[in-house]
Amino acid sequence: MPSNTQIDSGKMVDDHSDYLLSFAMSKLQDVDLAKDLVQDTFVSALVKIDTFEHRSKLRTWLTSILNRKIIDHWRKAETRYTDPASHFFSQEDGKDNGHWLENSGNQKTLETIEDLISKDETYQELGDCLEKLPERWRGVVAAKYLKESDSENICQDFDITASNLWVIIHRAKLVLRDCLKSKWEL
Amino acid sequence: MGIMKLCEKLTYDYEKSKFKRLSFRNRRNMKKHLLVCKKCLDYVADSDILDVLLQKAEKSNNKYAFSENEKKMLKGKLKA
Repeated sequence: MPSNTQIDSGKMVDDHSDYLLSFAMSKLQDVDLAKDLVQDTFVSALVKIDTFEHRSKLRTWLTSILNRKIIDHWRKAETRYTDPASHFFSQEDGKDNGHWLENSGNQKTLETIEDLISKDETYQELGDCLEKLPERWRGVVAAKYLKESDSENICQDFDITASNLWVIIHRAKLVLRDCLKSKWEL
Repeated sequence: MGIMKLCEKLTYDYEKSKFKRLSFRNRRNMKKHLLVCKKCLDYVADSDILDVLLQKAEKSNNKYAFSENEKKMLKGKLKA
């Protein structure tokens, strides 16, 4: 087992950078941000290399540092955006709170475009709509539907509770539905 | 909340029901609400279509990698 001072930073980059980038991209879908966070991960790892106790593999340790950086990034990002799904239901105090607003959800359903599902254009538009979601929501939706991860793993990977997961899926779908309808002018 | 569940709560419960079985009372209230609320009925239909769309969306097979030049620069930064 090499001592921590013998860990070569160049070899560490060669051995782990691409894996870490793929890991970051699975959660972020933003390659520039992912590369920045991987770089930060290597810097942090070298700063605290003395704390690496070899109880796990170096890659596992690096991945845990990167994962923490991604979660910190989301936390900071979430203080900067307003909930994009906040305008679908009435929010006033009183008994009508929580009902659909008049201008939402009263057009045709997405069923009218089902015959377009096989077309590339449809997926392109869906991809454009996914881009409108806050970063963490996008990652959760990708994990749930594109990567078909199970709920427990998603909650663990994204540092959220099961209730948070259901809320994110609900609000993400409201935004995606609205976005697709506006694209198809339904 | 009574028989008429609010639309926001109902649509949330509908999504939740795809992960976890709702209580009998919640399922009963949802059915009653959907009998009288066209907007929520439309949401439920759209939600199912979105599931299909998202699941059929092209799976990303992209393998991400740093270029050799980026790796060189990264190594330089770490040595500095």
